[in-house]
Amino acid sequence: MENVEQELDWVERLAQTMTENKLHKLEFETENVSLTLRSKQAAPAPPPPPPAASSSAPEEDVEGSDVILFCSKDVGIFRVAEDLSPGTVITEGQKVGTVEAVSVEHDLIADCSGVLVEMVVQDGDPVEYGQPLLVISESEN
Amino acid sequence: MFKKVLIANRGEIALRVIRACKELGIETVAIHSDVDRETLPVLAADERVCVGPAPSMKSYLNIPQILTAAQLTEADAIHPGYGFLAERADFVEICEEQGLVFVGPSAEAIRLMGDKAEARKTMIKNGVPVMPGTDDVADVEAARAFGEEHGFPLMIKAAAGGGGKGMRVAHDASELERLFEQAANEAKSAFGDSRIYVEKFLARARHIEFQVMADQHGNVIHLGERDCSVQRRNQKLIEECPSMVLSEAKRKEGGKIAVNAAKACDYEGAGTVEFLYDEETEKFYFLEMNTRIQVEHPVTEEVCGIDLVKEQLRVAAGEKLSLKQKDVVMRGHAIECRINAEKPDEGFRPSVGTIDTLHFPGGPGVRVDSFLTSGSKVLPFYDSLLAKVIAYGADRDEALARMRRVLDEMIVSGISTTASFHRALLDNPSFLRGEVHTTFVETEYRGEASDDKG
Repeated sequence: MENVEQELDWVERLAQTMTENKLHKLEFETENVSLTLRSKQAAPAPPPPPPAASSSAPEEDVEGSDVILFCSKDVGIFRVAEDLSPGTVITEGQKVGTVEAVSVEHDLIADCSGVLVEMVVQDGDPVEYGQPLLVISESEN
Repeated sequence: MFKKVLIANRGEIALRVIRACKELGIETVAIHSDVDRETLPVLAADERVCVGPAPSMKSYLNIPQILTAAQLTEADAIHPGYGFLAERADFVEICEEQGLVFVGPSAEAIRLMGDKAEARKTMIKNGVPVMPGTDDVADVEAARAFGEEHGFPLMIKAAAGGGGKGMRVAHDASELERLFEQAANEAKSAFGDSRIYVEKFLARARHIEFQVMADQHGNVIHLGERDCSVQRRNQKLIEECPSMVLSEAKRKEGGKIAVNAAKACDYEGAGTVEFLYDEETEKFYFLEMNTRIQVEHPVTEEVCGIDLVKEQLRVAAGEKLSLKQKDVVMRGHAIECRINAEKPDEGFRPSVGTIDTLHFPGGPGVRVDSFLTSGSKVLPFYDSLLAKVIAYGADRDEALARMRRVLDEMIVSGISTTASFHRALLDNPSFLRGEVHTTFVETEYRGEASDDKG
């Protein structure tokens, strides 16, 4: 980046890309720069098209916004933790399963507390990056 | 032949490989980042796997995720395209460990040609002409001694080089001392390797490269040359096949040298041997060998009537080359313009946005390799190449006339592209006369094309 103005211009473009693609979160990394942008709306909620200036609007209580989709960060075979089934109470930090990749197993650690509503994929299914695995309801805990 | 091939790339080259696979009856797996989900290659493939978020480090360069995708989809080979993992020797080795065929040369060939100083030494040993320079990597004293003995200007080059990084031209000894350190530092930060060597610098040389193709049975052929002298900062803008300046005898000579270069590293698959060509002395000087399919391969395909990507797949599967040297016939003339998402009026700054209207012309002798559709998003994460427009004609004049009408008909709205710059070049008298060299664009379009502001 050559100067601050260009950097801002560039971040603005990233933000625009994010809005246009309805992205919840965007991570960008080069040798010198590491940047994470998060949009305010929860992932499964339909993204209202807010103009850039309305980011100060209060978060609306959209129906379903308390439902969290727990997604895979890896490509591999999904293995669900043994004691997990719909209705199970999940605590943040709990291991909810693994994704088995070539020569490595990735632990799936819950990033919120709540109640498991639904398993989107079944034990043994192949999964990809960003694929929803579990639906967790935050409000019922 | 393979049953299923995974394409570890994106954009136009991913689609190009998928097309070749389809015509050969091979199933395809596209891998993609989460922002590329709706792109044409991903939609065109038989299967698709999202391997990571937008940044290439986490998706298109993410070896564990890509290998897992290959395993889950039961692919038997990986085609790397160009860029990304195409010239990573470690990736080739990992593929082999996993029982996957890498569509390309061996890890050893990639490693040897990737180290420019080692490649130079190997070429000298095998009788391939190189630009006079230091025999090996040099320190600043050795470089200065070479300059004082053989004369300036000198080109300072990084041993681990590529993409113009760590390259400087020094016109005298004091400039050499200053730039040597700069180049070493730049090479250190770009490649983690500060080794430097120097060569004589030819200001008015042409960039002429030969396409080679080799199978696993010891057969190596060349498919003539491409003239890529129209460049900007070592990035090619226009490529032509054949070159205007090579006689049939010179073509044979260059082709033979290229075949020797490929044999020197036990090459397999499609490769390109790049030369600087001095028109005055009619001499070739080895620059480097690119161990992959190249962006500009279509001009060779049009003139030689061969599908290089299909040929790559066939030889990777163990088949013999489908033709011998004597079967290679070059007919007509082909020109390629690289249409990039850049603003030519603003120092070629990247342009991003959404394409509203898109029209690629057709008609006789026209080929467009692209991955765009109306509504396509041009993102800031990746290479700016949008489309390769190739015009073929019975001779150069017909190809040029065709390219002019193609660029006039083409519509890409919503973002800025380099099409206007190409269109102007096609009327440039020096270009039309073929009087071009590797610094032509910088000297001709000083101010417009030479430098970014800031």
